[in-house]
Amino acid sequence: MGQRIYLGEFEELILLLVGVLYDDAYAVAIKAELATQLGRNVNISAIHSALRRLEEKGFARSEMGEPTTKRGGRRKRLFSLTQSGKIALDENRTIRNQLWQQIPDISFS
Amino acid sequence: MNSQNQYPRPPRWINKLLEWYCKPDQLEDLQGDLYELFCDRFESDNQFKANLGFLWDVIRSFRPGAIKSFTFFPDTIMLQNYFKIAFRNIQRNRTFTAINVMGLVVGLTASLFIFLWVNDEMSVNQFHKNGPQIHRVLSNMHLPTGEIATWTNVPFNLVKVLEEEYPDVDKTVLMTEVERKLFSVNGQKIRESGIVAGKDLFNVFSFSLLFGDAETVLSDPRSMAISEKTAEKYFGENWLEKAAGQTITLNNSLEYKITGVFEDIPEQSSLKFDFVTPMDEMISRQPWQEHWGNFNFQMYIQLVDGIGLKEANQKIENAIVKHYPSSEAYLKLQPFTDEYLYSEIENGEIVGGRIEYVRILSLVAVFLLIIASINFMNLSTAQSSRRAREIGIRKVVGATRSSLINQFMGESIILVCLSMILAVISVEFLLPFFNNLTGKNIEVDYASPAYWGSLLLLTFITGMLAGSYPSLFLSSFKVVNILKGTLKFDVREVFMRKGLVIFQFSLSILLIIATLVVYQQMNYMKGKKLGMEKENLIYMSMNDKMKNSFHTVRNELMQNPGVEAVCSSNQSPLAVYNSTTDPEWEGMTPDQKTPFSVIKTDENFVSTMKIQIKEGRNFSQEFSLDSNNFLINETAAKVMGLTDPLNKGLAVWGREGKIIGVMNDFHIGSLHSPIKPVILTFRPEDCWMLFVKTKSGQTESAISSLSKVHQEYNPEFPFEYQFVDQKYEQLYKSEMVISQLANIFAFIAMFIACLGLLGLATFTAERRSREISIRKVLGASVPELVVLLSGAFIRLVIVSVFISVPIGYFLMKNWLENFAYHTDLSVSLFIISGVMAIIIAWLTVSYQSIKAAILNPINSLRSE
Repeated sequence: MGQRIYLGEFEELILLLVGVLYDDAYAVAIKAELATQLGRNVNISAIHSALRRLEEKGFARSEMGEPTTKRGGRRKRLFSLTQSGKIALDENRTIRNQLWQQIPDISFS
Repeated sequence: MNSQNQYPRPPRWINKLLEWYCKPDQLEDLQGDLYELFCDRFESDNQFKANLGFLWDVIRSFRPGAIKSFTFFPDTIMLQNYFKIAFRNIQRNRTFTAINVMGLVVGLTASLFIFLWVNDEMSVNQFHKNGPQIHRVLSNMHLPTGEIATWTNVPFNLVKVLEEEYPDVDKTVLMTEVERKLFSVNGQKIRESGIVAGKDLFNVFSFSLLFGDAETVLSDPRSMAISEKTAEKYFGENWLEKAAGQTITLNNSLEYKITGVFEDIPEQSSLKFDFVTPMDEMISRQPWQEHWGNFNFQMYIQLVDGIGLKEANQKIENAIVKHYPSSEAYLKLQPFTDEYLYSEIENGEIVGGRIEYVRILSLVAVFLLIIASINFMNLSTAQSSRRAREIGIRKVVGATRSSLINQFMGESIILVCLSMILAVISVEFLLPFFNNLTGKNIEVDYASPAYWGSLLLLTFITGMLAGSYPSLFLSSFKVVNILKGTLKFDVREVFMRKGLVIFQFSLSILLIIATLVVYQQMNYMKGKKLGMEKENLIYMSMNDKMKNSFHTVRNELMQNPGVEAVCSSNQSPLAVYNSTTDPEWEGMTPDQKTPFSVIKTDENFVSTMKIQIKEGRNFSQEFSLDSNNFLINETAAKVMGLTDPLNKGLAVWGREGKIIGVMNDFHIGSLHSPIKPVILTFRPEDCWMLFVKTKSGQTESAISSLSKVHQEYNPEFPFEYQFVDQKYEQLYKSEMVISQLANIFAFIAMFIACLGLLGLATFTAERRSREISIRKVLGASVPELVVLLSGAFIRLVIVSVFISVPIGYFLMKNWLENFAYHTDLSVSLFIISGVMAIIIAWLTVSYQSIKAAILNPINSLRSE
């Protein structure tokens, strides 16, 4: 691997949501999920640039979906997880779990 | 399609913005997302919020990843190439470059001067801190004829009324006209110009005091403020220590203590004076000023902050009428900052003034730039065949039309830049002459960013103007035609070029016509019969001693054979400023109250001024009652509504008597205004001005007698005299300046237009050299060829004459109507302008034509 690419907190969230939304993962849906599930109101441009970065890093890929009338006949850009995206999420989770388990009980008192 | 319309759509301009900056490959989904969000907001909120949200999204999406790459400049290699080609072209066509640059330099220089002049005019009176609140008070007199006469003067009593009864008026300043009075300080006796003014002068106006306090400087009766340069003149360099508390004697009679020294009044002030004495003190010596009928002072008021002009105007309009119901004088306010440029008042309304000159000259500046730009357009399109191949190759290699347009536009801007640099240099060199001509003291502020900004803007606009047509024209060539060599010039292009030449010459001829009309009007005014003779008339002021022994003085003067007549009066008949509504006459109805100009004089006035008596008789020493009698002019009789005015009763300023004579009308001011009603009253005791009519050619000897008399009676005052006709010409100073400027600019316009014509003629002669040679070989004579070559151009100029004459006629007729008395537009004037233009154009063109026609045909035919 040589060089490791890290996921930022916000990027990780977005990548997770891409996975969650599965076949309808595009910016507006992600924004809605962020609002309902996490209560975070984020400007659409932030999501766009996060998705663009994820795609550049190879964690997500995109393809054009179907046009709808609500969008003025424009197609959605649908995102999906790539293999390396899945690995990155897994790794993140494993590392977190490891770290969690190392926390001694005392610190909770 | 219908289903699409179900959804609301965001505003188009925001959408355009998005489409403009967004990368094409991201636009579709980004725009779709934003649309969707817009629809959601539209449903949950309202349209306004949805629009706002959309705008915010579009702005937020302006991020590095989403912005397409913009190229502001073509890449540098191309840019280098453009510059190289531009300079090669400039070098290769030296003649045409020279003609272009010369035209542009002259045009730009003239425009820069106009720009400086306009800027200077606009800045007059703009430096006062309280400027927006200061207003001049005008009196609109409602005349029985239904007209309104406007005076710039008000009665003294108005001060108290405005200050006490009108809370919107913060401060008032009353002042007199500038008067020259004799200063006596430390044995020095010199006349200085000054005013008498109310005590708030320095509070209202921003004339800053170097010494003394603005609040109190004029509050003592015998106090006085003088200008810095006056202080320096009398008290030397360190006047600050010496001047305070010193006394100055005015006119050898009254002593004033110096309580303040103010900074010299800037050039950009219409109020100019070197000393001020307090108004209250003067009123205490002249109690008659406290009469509501005496309108003798100019008044400025400072309104309370936040009071609008209109509101204030309405409130104070009736201030005089309320206290003096019979006066019919309604007040009108004019913002002080407008006073200088909008001084002309007609029928109670402010109609213009110098602002018209500002507008006209600005227009002339634009004309000159257009004429110079047209030279560039014509010369570059005429030479288009020379550059056709370059354009063809560029297009083949992939130049788009817009890049060609940019290239040619750039070339024109480069040329204009070059000319602008030369123009700025010539302005620097010619500025002293310009100042001399206009009587101004303009300096170029090279440190001011506004100056350089305007230069840059001017360069850019002129460059764009000059480059617009050539760049569109040159870039429109079809590659195939160019490279096949079948490039044909559209008839339209030739037509366009001719049209531009006609336009240029029409403008130039228009300027020539205007110049001639202005010149004629000036001459007319100088030579107009004024109803009196202003030539060979000297005047000087008299002191009390001289006044009291006027008879002896007169006799002494009359002994000189060079003196034709001598009289005394209280004002010069060509500069009567005061007027009064006091006169009451037999059979007058109260609504007939009108302003009259009253001149106090003696029995010799009429004969000295060579005023004709129409009926009745002059004042005479033999009639002891004449001190109560009056002479009036025809206009006064008309205004009074008297068909037989003789022996009708008339009362002026407390004297009741009869009208004993009617004079023919004479002018008492500039010809801008019509003749005013005048009353002469016989009061030799109040006449402090001495008039001497000399026989022509004997002025010198008359002056020496005058000097002798002056020595005898008034040795304390320096001998000073003036000529009435010179004073009169000063009334037209601004017109004279404008007339001279118009002369110069008309010449410049013609010059630039002819330069362009010269260029075109040179070009045509070159292009048609073979045709001419063949014609010559076949037997054409030189004159025939000259006519052939010049004829085409002359025809254009003739067309211009026919276009500009009616326009000029219309415009100048309008201008002349500004004058109450003006010349008539003569046909010969238009013929002269037209013929002049044609001759100048012909001289320009014929040189090239003759040169081409006498060339040996072998030279141009051999090479084929």
